[in-house]
Amino acid sequence: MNTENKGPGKGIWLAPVLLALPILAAMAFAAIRFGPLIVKLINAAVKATVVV
Amino acid sequence: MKKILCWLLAFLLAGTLALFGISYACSRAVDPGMKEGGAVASDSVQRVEMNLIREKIEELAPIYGFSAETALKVVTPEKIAEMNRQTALWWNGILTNGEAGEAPAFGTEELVSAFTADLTSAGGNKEETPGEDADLRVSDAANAVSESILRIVLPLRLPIIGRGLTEAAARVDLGNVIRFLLGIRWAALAMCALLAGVIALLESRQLRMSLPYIGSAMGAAVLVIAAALVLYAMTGIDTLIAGASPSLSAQYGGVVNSAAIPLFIYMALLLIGCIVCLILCRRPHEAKAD
Repeated sequence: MNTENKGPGKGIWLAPVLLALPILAAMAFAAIRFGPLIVKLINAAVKATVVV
Repeated sequence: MKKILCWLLAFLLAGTLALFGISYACSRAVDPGMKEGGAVASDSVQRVEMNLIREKIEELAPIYGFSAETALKVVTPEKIAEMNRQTALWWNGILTNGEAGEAPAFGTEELVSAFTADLTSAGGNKEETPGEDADLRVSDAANAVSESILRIVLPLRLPIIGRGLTEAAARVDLGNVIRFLLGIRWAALAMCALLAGVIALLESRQLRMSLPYIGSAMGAAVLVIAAALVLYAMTGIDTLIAGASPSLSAQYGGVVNSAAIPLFIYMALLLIGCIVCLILCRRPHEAKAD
């Protein structure tokens, strides 16, 4: 006997966003917390090593 | 419980897929430099360098009192290509052994001969020109041109980089560290296959049942990589380098392009994979029920 098996609902299209959300939140936190420091370090490294 | 575990694995799969994409793009930028002979700058970069060199020589000519045409007869695109090959070898030494080899240099002999010949023809013969002064001026001019060429082809403070590499080499094996970092992509790829396999196993080995998790992970990976690209753009490294040195900016642009193109292709593939998986998993399916 064959029965019809229904797949997940329309909400499944939101799943990628929900899955990415924790990683995106961590990235946003890291960018806000350490972003300025990283930019300063890159700036200093470029100034120290590149001949202007 | 099984579903929660599957979504947890899908979350890990999303992170691993994103890690694979980013590490693969980075390795595409570094890999050519590690091959024998290194990564020689592309023709378009060499053209940019040649234009900058031409401008610099025209700027130096009135200061040092030499003819720009004479210098440009010596500084040919072929010689700049040769310097780029030396630069590629210099980078190759750093990437494979963590040691900066012999720095590239543009020999001054031909420039000195050309400038001296110019002075001689201008003064009739060499005896009529003030000997030592003229030699000094010619030598200064040749050195200035040679240094300018080096600054355009390899616009880095070589002593600082050499010192930094020596200090770093005393603590770690830089070549091994770079090879280890390049290996991350394959570890991430293996991890992706493992996680997808475990999800399928948990869903009673039915591929269709695992599609929502795998598809969602692919979509999430695209979002994470896109966010990483936005963060990279926000650091403004391109603008910083372009402000410091136009030639380095051209070289850096070439490296970034070689990494960006495969990354965008990978993102497009992930997006297609995500859409296909999510469409397939939503289709009504006839399953056997005994």
